[in-house]
Amino acid sequence: MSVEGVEGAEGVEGTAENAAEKREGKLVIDRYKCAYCGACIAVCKYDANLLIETFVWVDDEKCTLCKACLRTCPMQAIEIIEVAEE
Amino acid sequence: MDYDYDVIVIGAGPGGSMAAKTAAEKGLDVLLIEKRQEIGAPVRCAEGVSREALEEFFEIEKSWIAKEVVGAIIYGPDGSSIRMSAKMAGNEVGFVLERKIFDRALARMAAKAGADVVVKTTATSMRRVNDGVEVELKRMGESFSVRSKIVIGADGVESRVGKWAGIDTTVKIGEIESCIQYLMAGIEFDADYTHFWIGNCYAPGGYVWLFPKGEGVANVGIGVLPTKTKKGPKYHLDSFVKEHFPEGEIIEVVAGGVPVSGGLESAVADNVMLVGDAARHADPMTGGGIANAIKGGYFAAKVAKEAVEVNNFSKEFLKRYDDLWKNDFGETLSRNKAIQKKILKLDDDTLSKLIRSVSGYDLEQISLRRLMIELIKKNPRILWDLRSLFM
Repeated sequence: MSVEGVEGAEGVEGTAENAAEKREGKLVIDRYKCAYCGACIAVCKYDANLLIETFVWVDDEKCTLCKACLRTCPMQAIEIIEVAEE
Repeated sequence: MDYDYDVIVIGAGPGGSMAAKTAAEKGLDVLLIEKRQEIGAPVRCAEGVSREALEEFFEIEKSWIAKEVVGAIIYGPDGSSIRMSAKMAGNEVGFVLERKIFDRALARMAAKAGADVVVKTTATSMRRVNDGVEVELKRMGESFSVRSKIVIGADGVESRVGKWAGIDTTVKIGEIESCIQYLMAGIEFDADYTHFWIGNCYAPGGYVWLFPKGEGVANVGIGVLPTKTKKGPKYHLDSFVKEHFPEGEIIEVVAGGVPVSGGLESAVADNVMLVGDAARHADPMTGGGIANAIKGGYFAAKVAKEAVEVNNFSKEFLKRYDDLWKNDFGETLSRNKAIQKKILKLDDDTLSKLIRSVSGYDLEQISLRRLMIELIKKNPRILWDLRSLFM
């Protein structure tokens, strides 16, 4: 059984501002809409998101922008934003 | 290896608390952890459960029950309806719970039985050590690890325990109901019944429900399949509410995803058993999950006790848990998955026709199985492929 550690706190620090250099875009969660229900986590086959108590954290490295979570979210709180090339 | 516990249960919903309570009662050392700071909140559920599902395991306390109903009324797209008695309508009809009270009562029972309970504590990872598991926990900023023989993952729709143990728990977006519910006050309805509206005109790939919580107060919610609509459940529920209950006030908003895949192939791995939504044990037709979560929790604890007695925590041994849930509610999960798949293919006119074909029956007296048989007989062309499930 290989099990990967989850560095929750570090991830949280990195979520909001320092968007990765991904050209395609970046998954963002509207905190005013999110009801932290966890539906997005159930459908993520890349293990790229995590519910920390009342906070959904997205791992930009793992996220492939497949939109499964975006389509599932009951609150429609998830969107993909364009990220400018650096 | 020294163990801190025989069993760690992750998640203090009904499934987890039931597992912890049962395991502790059987004399095991149990730790029950809940990531939220409060057990039972926020609710992610319509709160319906049958009397039988609770009576099997508990002395029911009045405070758990917001409202008792006598049956269910199902409305088709054209407004025709059928009425069923609670006894015949299945696992979700009978009581409308106050989950905030019920969940806490179950956790208290687990504590009373001897389980250690911690809240605001998140399991962040898990690894196998010798024959046991080490779970990393984070509690209000403090990290620590706990060693256990068995982990019961009752960590809900967002389950991570299964993934850590190598069980693929990912739900396809065609197999998860995206749900929103409003607790509405000041609305008019028959509070002796739960009400269901089916049809794509109301809820593409799902249904609208009304579960009474008292006179004039009810959980009004919707589940839709993301593959059937792009608009999301809120749009569809708002349309419904505007038409049916424009006078109501929304005093609580609840969101959630309900897995309707019909259960994992296997809910066990070495040292690990999954319970409730984590095992995708919600009913694919109704979306109800409380009854199966409680049963699953009970079964998992039973197998944990047997495993500890013989000191065998292997996947092979824990398959006893798979056998127990499959022999109990597994068949119903498969059957209802087949019915759900069939219903998803029907257009609204056909659904209305089906409901009209049995609307003259006295459904207070007949079982769901009998109803299905009548439906098949009356509508052989539409439902012929379901006959092997019932006849």
